[in-house]
Amino acid sequence: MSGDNFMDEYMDLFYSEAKEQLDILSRDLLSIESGASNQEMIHEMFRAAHTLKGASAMVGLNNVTEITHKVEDLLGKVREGERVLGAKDIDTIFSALDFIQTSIFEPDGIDPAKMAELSAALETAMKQPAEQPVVPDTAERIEEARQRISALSQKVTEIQAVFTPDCFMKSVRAFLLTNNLKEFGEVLETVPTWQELEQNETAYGEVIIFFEWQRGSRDELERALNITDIQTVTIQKAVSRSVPEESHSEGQPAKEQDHAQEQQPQTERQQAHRPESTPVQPHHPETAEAKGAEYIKIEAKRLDLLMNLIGELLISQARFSRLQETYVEEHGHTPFAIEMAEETHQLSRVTTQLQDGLMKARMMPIGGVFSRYPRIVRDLAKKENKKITLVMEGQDTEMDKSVLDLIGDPLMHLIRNAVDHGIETPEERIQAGKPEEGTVRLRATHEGSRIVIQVADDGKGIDEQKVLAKARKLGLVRDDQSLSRQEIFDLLFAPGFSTAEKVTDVSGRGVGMDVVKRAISGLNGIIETQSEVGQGTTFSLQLPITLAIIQGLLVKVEGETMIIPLDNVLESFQLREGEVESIGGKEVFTVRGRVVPLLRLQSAMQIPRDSEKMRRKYRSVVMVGLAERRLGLEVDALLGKKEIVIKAIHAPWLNLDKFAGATILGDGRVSLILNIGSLFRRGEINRGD
Amino acid sequence: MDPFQIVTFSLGRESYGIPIERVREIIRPTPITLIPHTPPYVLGLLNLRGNVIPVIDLRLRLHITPEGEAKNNRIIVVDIDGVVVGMMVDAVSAVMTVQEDMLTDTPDMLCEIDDEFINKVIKTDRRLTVLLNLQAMVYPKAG
Repeated sequence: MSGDNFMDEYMDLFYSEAKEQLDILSRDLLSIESGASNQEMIHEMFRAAHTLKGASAMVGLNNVTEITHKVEDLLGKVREGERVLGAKDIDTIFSALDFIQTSIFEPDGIDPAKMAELSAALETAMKQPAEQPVVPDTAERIEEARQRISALSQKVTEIQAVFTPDCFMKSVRAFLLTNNLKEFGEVLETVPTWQELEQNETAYGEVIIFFEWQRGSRDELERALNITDIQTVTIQKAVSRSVPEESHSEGQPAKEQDHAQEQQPQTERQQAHRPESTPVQPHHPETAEAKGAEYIKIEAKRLDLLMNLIGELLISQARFSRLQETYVEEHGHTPFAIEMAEETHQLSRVTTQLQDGLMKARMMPIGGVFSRYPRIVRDLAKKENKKITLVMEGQDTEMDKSVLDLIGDPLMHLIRNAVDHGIETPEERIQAGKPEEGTVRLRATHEGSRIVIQVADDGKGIDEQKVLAKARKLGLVRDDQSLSRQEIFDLLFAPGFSTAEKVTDVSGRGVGMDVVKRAISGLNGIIETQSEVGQGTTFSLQLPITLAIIQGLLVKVEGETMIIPLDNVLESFQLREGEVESIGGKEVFTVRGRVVPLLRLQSAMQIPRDSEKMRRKYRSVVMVGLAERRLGLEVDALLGKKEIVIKAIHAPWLNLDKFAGATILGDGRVSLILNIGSLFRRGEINRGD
Repeated sequence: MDPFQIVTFSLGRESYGIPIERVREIIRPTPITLIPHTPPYVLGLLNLRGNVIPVIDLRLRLHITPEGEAKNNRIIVVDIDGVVVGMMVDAVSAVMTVQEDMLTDTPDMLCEIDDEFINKVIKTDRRLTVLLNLQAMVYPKAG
């Protein structure tokens, strides 16, 4: 290998690595910006920045190394809990990411002034906590407010809300709290104020709300105050902590009685001073339970654990069924065998129900993912001087949480793409006789066991000729090759492909359509593209509702057992030797007038052949389909249909594109699940026409 | 530097080691499912109490000829920054405590494997033990 080649390969590696890390950074930063605070995200961002720093230093991109280093430092402080990311920090990091992006992918576009500015901004952000006053002492102010307010009204309730240590956007949480309280009465004052919280996020660990409680029960109030990132909420009557003078308490003898039921126990000193106060129970467990049973907030991790356990149970049950079958084979249908069969059947029924039940518990509406897009579309449209409405439909369509967690980014890329490349400027639209304002439509619907999400724009559409020309220039397509419409659209998802004549700020955030493709394939999903020049483009994503369990067809290939997802299986049949023909050296067969390529799974998977094997009269073929394409897979035997618990193979260092995961069979052995999409991608498979 | 512990094992005629905190467990070889389209040193997947983990043959990875009896072969399950991998070795030897003064840099041409796989060499009276760079076992050079 020549030095140049080595360097090229090296740079390729670096580019893909950099892209991946930048993706992680942007994604997490956006989630943090949209209010999802999570310590793990900070860790992940820190690791990504660290990796990127190391990688860029190795290829000698000093600008990138320097800026990344500063980002890493800043994130390090956040990770150590020394500070919290404020809105301004997030903006700074975003600009840093943009800069890194430019430096890596379009080094000509580097602006030294911008770099200095950015560098300074990051340093300022780093130093900030030191300049900030150490947690302002609010105790005095709270006491002052307590005295002042309780003098005004008899029915003041004091609510203390403690933030979780890693809570971001505390001001937003405080705002939500006060907003929710409006249903129950009037918010009189908060310490610190909303503005103070916004300006100095890190300084406060809690907020005290003084509130005049007019309606609603304590349970309802507690539920309204159950907000993410609020660790504890204490509701009590606002009572001055300082020892009141006798005259004061005499002046308000009945002070405690009104809301006595809602009180937390007072300190002994206070009780002693107010002998007239009703003794109060700390809580009312019976009522709290009765009403609280309607909804329970559960940490997602616990559900994941349960899901894993049910997966184990399914596998165990499969092994048990196998044992029972073996017993019957050896001993026949003895009374014991019959009893065992009944129990096995019962066990499988209960397991299935259990699995269904938990699946339902993991379902969440897609609306949560959608909710961050309007803001993004608005900002982008503004930046590009376009007028765009985002219409969202089907927000309550439910999907498994694990799928939901992974579709946010690919969808965002598609939406950005629609805004950036799809919708034209108002002038262009008027010229084309379209309404000035463009529309991006985001729509989720159920289709059988899958979810279809569409991102549609009414923009300029995809110019096939332009795409093809570009692909030829990039060497993705040979000059003499003619492609179908769908194949041309598929080119959009090829790595490194971008038809934008200028790289805009939007695409500058470094997310190509190949990233979308990879993410969707990773979810065992399918992307379909429809486009008409002048009328717009629609990307349809077909996704499984859940990733955890699928129906699979078990097949035998040489000594190996493999699984074909039943979603992809159209039919299976036995072909006689005479029914297989050859076109251009490739085997094909005919089904109802349609010519379908035939692929030996053994050779496609490069499994060594057993030369001892007898040649058979018939060939077992499973016909699989993906969109409009068909392919016959030759296998040695069909072993049957089974419920498959998908186990992720966590091996980023291996290229496992050809598999959708693995599972554990009844005999305890691991078996691979084929990714049918990858078989269609192989060069030698032609379209079935 | 504080003393640290490593698990040592043999590959061919040489001794190798990895930090003990990286080792999740050591198991006897169980049936492994081959993964098509992977390099020869990737043995395949095994079922570790319900989890599917990939296994590499460390001897093939480092181009070392196996030695000793197959019944002594073990799979060391390691955690490389969150990525769990099983590594087949000829035999597991012992746990050893490493003091700072035992560490040396790689002497040239001393062992059969590439520099990129070596972190440090540990020298005792009796023998040399190569402290493996685990990252390099699974990630290409850039990592």
